[in-house]
Amino acid sequence: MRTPQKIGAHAARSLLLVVTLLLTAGIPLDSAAEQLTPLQILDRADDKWELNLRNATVELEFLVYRENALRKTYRMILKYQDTDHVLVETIFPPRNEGEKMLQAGRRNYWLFLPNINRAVRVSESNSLSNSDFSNTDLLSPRLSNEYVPKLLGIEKLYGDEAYKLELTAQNESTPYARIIYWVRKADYFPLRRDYYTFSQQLLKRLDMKASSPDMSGPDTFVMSSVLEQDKKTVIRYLKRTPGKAFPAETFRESALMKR
Amino acid sequence: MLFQLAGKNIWRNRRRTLLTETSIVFGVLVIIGSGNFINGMQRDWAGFEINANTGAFQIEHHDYQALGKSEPLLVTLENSAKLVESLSRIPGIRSAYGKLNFSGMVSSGHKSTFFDGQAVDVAGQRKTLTRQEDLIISGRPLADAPGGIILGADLADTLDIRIGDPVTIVVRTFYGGLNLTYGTLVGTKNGRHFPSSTYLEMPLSDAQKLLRVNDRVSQIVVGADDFDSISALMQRTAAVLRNDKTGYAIRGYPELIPIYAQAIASFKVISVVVGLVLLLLVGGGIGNVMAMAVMERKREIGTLRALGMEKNHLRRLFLVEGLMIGGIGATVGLLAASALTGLIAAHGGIHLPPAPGTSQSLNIIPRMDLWMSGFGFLMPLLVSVIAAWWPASISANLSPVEALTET
Repeated sequence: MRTPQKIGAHAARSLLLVVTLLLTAGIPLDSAAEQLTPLQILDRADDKWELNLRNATVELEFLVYRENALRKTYRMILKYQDTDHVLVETIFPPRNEGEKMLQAGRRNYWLFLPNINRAVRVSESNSLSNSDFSNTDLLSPRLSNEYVPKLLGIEKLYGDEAYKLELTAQNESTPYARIIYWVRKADYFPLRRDYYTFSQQLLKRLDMKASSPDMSGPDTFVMSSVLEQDKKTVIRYLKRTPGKAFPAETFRESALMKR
Repeated sequence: MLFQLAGKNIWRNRRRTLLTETSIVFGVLVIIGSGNFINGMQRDWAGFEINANTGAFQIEHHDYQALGKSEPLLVTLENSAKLVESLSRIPGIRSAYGKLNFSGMVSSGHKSTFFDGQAVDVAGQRKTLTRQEDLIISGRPLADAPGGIILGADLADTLDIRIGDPVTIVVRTFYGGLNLTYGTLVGTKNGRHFPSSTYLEMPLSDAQKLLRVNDRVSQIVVGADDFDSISALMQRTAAVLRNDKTGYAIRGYPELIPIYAQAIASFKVISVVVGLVLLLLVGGGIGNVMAMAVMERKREIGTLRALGMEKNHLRRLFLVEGLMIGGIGATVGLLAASALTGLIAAHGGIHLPPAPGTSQSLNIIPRMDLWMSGFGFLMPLLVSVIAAWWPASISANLSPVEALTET
């Protein structure tokens, strides 16, 4: 016969065992209810960023600030087949109109300059239009493809509880060796990324916001550089049009000069 | 007999002959003197560049010239320390060191810009480029301690930084990732063969760590003491490297200093053109002297012809007179040019101050240039013969009666 004392002791032992297991697994107690792994958290944050960018166009504004003053404004149209196949066309200012950046697959970036009518292969870590964003920062938002996540804990950021993830590059060809990523706990909204180099020095910081509460993902991106004080680039999504299918040729390097 | 007669004839009108000889001597002196000056400048300039910038020659990956601009880290030499050591054992090589070319972004904290970097083995560079300090505009060269950065003077101005200020360097590593390091500006540099607006120099070990290319270099810079044996030394080095599996390319200093070969060739063309103009004037002078001699000596020519002197003999007489005038002027000019060259060299040469914005002065010691000396000596002789030909022909074709009756 099991006495109530024995049952109580058994329950306490079981609870202790569960707590110990959870602690050993490195999963915070308050997230245990959802039982998400760091990779799942990262995947959900990636999904929030992507916002169904397959077969879609996005018109965005690119504001480059130097010494806290707006120096350059660009407008671009991004044509998405998927997140590995994107064509960026500059439509403003007139001086840069017609410039194109193509991501024709993972780590296959091409820059087309109309004044020399030539497409040149560029690196994913090259700066996008002399801004603080590199090509990969804007065009390859899915970090789960390149990094191994680890949950460091939960912190408050912008007044919200956020998962603090440490992402370590899977190999040395990845532009950033480490990224510290804050993801809002409530809805996996990406809040902030700190990008580190291989020497473990902070290189730049990206803060993400939604312009209205209706937005489920970020549409404003502020990249600030640690290289220069008062230097940042702001990207704002102006218009998103889903359900736009493009011919496969649109995303081939050979077609860049024909258009 | 012919030479004795010609010798007497040319001194009949001493003043006219002396004037002609003076013009020939001046022409020869200018041609040979400028040739010797250019020869000296060529050696001293090359010597300066070899000891300040390029070394006597450089060894690099055989594809470096094709891919070095776009992908400099992919065409590097592996096991560079061992290679430098084996090269240093070749007789005639004073020292050698590795350098690594790369690019990236440099920031002062307020401004950022792109740079073309050169990472150097500081100790090896000190031994190989004995005059590299001459390129320093402000501050000092790199020391053995890590963290020092040298910038092109214009790049430092662009970033608005001074000696002792911190700089941040961001690069793409050999594997593709981004990396960052901090350094301190220790000096600014200026030179003819690197763009001062984008030049950055840092210690090799710092750069190899930053770029994650352990023991790789873009080039090995070789220093040699004997300027005249550089070509032979390059051939010996190529023979040693031929046994290695890696495909190497060796580039000598004239190729490494593109402006050098062009400038020297231009100077030589200018001096030859000036020489030809001078010789034209000298030729005109000699032709004039000989024509005057024919005019003045018509009765004498008539007498010689009447006494039975052959036309050819008479023509030869005038040609020999022209040749003697040219020969004397050329010989005196050659001797004067040699003496002047020796005198300037003995007094330490000609000092050229640094060009505006640079710190590199040049001391030119003129040296005999065999080609220009030969040109300067032989051309007056040839011109004299050509200039004397027409008056000689006129004299030979004069009829004795016509010559003797002319008043």
